[in-house]
Amino acid sequence: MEQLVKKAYVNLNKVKFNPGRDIPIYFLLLPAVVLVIIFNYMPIYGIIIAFQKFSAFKGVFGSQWVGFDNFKYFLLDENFWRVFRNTVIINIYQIIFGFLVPIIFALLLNEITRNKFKKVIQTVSYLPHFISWVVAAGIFNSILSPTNGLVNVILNELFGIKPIYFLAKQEYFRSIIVLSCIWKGFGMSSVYYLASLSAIDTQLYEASYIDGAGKWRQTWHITIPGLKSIAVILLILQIGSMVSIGFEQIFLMYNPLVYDVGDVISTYTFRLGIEQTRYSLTAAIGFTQSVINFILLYAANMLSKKIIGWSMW
Amino acid sequence: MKRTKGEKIFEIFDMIILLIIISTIILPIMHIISVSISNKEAVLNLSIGIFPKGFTIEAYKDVISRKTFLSSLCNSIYLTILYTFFSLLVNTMCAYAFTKYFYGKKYLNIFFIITMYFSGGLIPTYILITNYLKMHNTFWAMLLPGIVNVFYMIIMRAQIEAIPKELSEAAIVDGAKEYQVLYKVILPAIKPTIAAVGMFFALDMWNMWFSCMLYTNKESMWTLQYFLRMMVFNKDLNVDRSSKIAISIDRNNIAPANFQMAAIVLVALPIVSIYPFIQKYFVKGILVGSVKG
Repeated sequence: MEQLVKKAYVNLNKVKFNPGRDIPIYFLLLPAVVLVIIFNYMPIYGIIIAFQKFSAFKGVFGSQWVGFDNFKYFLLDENFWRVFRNTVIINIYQIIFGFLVPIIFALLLNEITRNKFKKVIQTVSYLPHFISWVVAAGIFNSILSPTNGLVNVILNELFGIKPIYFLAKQEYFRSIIVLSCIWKGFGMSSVYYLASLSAIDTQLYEASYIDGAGKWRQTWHITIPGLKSIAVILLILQIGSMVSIGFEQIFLMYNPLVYDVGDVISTYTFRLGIEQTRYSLTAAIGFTQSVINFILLYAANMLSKKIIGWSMW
Repeated sequence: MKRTKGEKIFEIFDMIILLIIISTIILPIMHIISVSISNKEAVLNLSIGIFPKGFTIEAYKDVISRKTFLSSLCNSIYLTILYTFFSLLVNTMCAYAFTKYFYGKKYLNIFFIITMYFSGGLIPTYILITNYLKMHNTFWAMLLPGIVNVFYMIIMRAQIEAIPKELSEAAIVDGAKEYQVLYKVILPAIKPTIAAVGMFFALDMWNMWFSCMLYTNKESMWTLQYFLRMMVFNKDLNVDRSSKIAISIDRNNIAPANFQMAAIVLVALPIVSIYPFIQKYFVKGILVGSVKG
């Protein structure tokens, strides 16, 4: 088998241009190639405006070059460091808690022997994945609202607490963002774990049962190790997209009162770039963001190669 | 294995915990629906939990009778169909081509893979689309940038490669042309994958609002999600839009919360009512993706 793969690989390097065979294939590839050049490579080329004083009049080719001025500007700006800190903090929370909830949910679900109950719970847990962030944020917005919000109604009736305007309180905002993200994703993420759980050999459980292992020991020694590789893969993917996630929900739910704790790089870039049209500055921030992202992805990948011998490349 | 008493008790506890977890999804939805159909007085008294007080569908009537709601719904349907069709077409063609040998395959492969790891970012893309391609206020700006999806393309390619070579070889021996092989052998064999990937594309476009916000300032081009965004989160709207919405709500004598909840329910309704039937494609799709990607 390995030899076959090797042979195919060698062939690939020796393939010569053959019009009769290749031209129809190029036609199949053409639309995708054109779209990728226009919408992926041209923006990558457009990053050069980060090194310019871009003006829409003169365009990408005529604007004045300023070297690293834009980078210096935002690195010295305390607003940037504020959003940078927020991005890191929110993401770390999200990775820790967002990582654990689907695993716990899958473990709980796996122990259920009534299939119908299991199926219903599972189907309901997928629901938040299918609704848009606008709907999800709308739901969170209204259950947390000081007027008529479900959470405030409950707090008021059970504990007599006066309505709290959660989304305007700095101490709650980050938790709300992290919770909403978990709420939206845990059902679908648990799919990976449930699939791994069903792949664990049942003989292992039977053998350990005969050896006298209880539920907890079985979970600890058989189930959790069975989830290790998929968990590491998902963790790596999440770390890899760390800098860019979180835009939609934060953008929809934040307000100037919570900028200090809730404003992240992507929302900051949006306000600065699109609303205040400071293109060069935000292109510089965006470029830095992509570089950090790539470094994180690369580092996470190296780590996974070491730990479980799996990598994306 | 015989189940002990302890295990049975454990299962009941387990079920209770799961029900509590699931209630974080069910209760907010019940709350939203309750507010949307409760009487105006009850809504203004701020006391609605998960059950409605009174019954009225005025808010729904108001949302549905809006011209913008209907045009947004049409736009969303139109965009979703177009996007799903063209994305599937372009990506399947590309995936199929990559299962063949041809000159330059190695480099073209790298050409596509790079886009998974590097992107120009928001601002360069925005400038390109508005200043250079002049796609502002056209549906092209919302459709074209996302059509090629390298990740889904790789999934489809792996699925096509998994089809036994003998099938297409047999068809060629029987005198089938290349395009007939694609049409009669390959496509039927990867039908489930196409269905799954198509659902992913459709959901992405159906839930799209950000491109709509970026690339259009015409109300007639809103998508359904963006319509909802404007109705519910109108805190940073420019002045005349928000006042227009506020005035129209007052005129209709409906509490704003009523109206907003009704809008949320109506926008969520299509996807919530069909997702139980399509969820299996998503589960299959992400599992295939995790194995191959």
